[in-house]
Amino acid sequence: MNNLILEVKDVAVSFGGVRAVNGATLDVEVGSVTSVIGPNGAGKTTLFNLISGAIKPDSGTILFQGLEIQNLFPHKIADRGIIRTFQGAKVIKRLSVVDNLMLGGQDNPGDSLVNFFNPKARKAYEVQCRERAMELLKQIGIESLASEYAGILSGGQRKLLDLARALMANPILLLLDEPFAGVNPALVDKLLEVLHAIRSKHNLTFLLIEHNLETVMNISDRVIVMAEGRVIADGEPNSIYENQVVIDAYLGTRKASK
Amino acid sequence: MAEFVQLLFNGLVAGSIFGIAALGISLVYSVLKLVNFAAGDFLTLGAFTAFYFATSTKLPFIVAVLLSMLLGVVISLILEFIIWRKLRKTGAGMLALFLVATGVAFVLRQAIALIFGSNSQKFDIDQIKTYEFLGAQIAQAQLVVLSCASVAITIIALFIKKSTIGKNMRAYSDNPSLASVSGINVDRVIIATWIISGAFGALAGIFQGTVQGQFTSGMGLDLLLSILAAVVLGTIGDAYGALIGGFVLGVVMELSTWDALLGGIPSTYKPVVAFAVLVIVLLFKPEGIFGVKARKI
Amino acid sequence: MNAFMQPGFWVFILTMSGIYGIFTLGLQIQYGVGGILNFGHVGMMALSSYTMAILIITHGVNFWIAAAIGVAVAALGGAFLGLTTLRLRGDYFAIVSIAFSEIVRYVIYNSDGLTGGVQGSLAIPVIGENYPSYTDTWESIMNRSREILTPIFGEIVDREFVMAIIVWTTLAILLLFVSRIERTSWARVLRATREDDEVPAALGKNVFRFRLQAVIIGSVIGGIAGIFWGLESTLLSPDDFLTLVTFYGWMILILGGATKVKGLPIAAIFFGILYGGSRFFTFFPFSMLDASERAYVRIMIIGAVLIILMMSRPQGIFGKRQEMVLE
Repeated sequence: MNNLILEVKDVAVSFGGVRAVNGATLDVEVGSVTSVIGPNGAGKTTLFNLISGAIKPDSGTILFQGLEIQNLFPHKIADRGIIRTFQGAKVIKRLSVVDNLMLGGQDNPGDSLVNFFNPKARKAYEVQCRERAMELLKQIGIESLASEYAGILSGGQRKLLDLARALMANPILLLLDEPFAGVNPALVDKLLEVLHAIRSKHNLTFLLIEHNLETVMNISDRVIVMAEGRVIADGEPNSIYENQVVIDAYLGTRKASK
Repeated sequence: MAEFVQLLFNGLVAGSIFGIAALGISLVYSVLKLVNFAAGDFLTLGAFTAFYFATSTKLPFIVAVLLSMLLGVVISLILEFIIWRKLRKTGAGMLALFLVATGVAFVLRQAIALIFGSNSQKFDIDQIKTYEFLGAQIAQAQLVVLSCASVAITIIALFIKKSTIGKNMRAYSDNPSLASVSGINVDRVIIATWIISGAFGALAGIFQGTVQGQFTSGMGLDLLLSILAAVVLGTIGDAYGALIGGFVLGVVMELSTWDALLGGIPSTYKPVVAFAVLVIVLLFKPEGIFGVKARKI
Repeated sequence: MNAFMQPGFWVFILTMSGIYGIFTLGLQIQYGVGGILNFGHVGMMALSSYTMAILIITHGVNFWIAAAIGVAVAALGGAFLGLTTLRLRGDYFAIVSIAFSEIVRYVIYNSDGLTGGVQGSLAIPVIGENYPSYTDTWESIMNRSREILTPIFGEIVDREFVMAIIVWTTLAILLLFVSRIERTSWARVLRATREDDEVPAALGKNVFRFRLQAVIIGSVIGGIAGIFWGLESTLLSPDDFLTLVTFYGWMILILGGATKVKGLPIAAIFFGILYGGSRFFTFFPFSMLDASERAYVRIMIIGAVLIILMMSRPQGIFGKRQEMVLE
């Protein structure tokens, strides 16, 4: 039993003639923080969509904890513990902030209509779920907005909500799509604290897409670089920094070669 | 063989009517993202007003037809200015568009019944005269409709392809924001869309009334779902597709009653064939015959 | 306007309002909670009422069982519709749902041997020599209820009165049920899916299952409305189940505020007054019209209400603007 929680093997997908992901291969170790970087259009978010099941690959396999997941429905993949955030920080605008978080609650008896006739079980779950949610809201600093419609939140606050909601869902592997974009730097530090605490407590694994190279270098155990739908470099942060291939990909002077 | 030819011909006639009506609906969808549930009642309106103009004035029938088309255009434009424009401005969603279109349909249909009465009407066209062709009986009325419809279809197809406004309509439906910043007069595109849909809706209604022999105020509504089937079959939003979808649907509906095909379906079930086509297309190939890759118009 | 002074008139309005209220409640759980555009809802009424009638008339089935099976068939209809077409995008589902209820209507219309076809339930094949009625048991229940209620309420108690009470009691119970359901996390998930399918899925929720459940529950409630409809009108005809009726429900739904149940009873009564009472209006413009013309104007008004509501107050009387699902 290896310690690779996620294995992406030669995965490819095209849309309307464009190969968005063109044979990507990468591994993620349990408990690590792995960042995916690369120029725009490199296929990073598409990769996340493939892992989370939002789209199916044309070819290749994805293994989570040793089992194939590339053909599963997104909710099944989430059930297994892969929880993602979204690039635009999708919040449900017409639900309250705390309701948004409670949406992340797993195995909620109230989700099953059979339990309509068991109000005690439903209520018990809702109470503890709400406590967890309020605790998280406090940690990210928007506790006072709990009962407001999520639609009134600013962009940065939505990012926080998206993240907190993901944490509510008992993740094993967190896919974070640009989690710090638009969040003010002081809050970023606070967030990193929260994530760090949770990571050690629950042995979480993080796979994140991030553009801020400084943050990437600071927090990552591993950095994966994508360009034109492929993985062009993969290793410790320092090695990537000086990798010519990577520099060229970002500056576009030379096409990445396999 | 004779029955096959008969059914095929009937199908082409019905199909030409579907095509003309479907064209209007597809255009409106492609430009305005609105599924016009009131379109069926514009057909009815066309038939009744043509009848009215023909019988209460001494004008030749062709003039009555043109007046009726004009009225269809006028009412479409009135609705655009007092309703659709405002809805677009307030950013109305799917439900609002559906319900308002339905509301318009109700008002229109009941107004027609109020004004023209609930009796069925018929055009003063010889229903009896038929010609023989390969064993099939071709009614003169059908021939007239098919030939006129073909002319109308050719005209509109050329118009959409060659005229500036036609090109603008296609550009706008492909990419609205790009089209408007590149200087296309969106207002003109929208008005042109309603003109075509209003005129052709009336025309389709007149043709249908001619072929049906008798028509009542429910005529258009009865056809609406079948016309929508043609629209979806030909790829919603694609004008040429609507024309082709109309013909294909018409022929399929008629041929489904052919007794060489496992006894054939009783003809009262023909609309169910259309509904089945609608459902099957949406379930298995919602982008229609011409697929996502086709141009929108 | 003398009719408006008669209590009997109001009782009749109440009954009609109650039945359409139940019908609309079935829509509310699908749209108000789930954002599902079901325009084929009348099909469920047709399925339940005709099933009940056929079981009683042709097969001599006990009334209660027949009614229960009728509602079950409506549920199955909803399940069928949902299973086959709920994965379609919203506007496509709306269109096929109309096709669904129209197919049901067409089959009823053309199956003379089963449903009586165009002649309606009077032509349903009967066992033995009996008259094709499905309301015998129900009528005797009503009679017994009358005997119980007359000492309490006095002269006013007639068949219509009893009917109104039963319908509104049922509506009240259903309203209670639905408002409770709407406070569960099940409803919360559905409300989330109105805006975005990806978020709930990414949190492990099987969006399709939730939606299907909403459609089935809505169809059960629609089926119950159908049973009452059949009992109130004592005979059925395919023309009673036009798509038009579905949109009556939508008008009531929007008027009362789609996302909450509390406005529904009042909106239903408004509809009932318009629908049942317009034949008695003596003010202009109704004074100028005969009965059939009034029928046209009635529907025109409903159309106009739909248009005006969606254009200026889509949240209805009781809804909140922010909750309106305007995409």
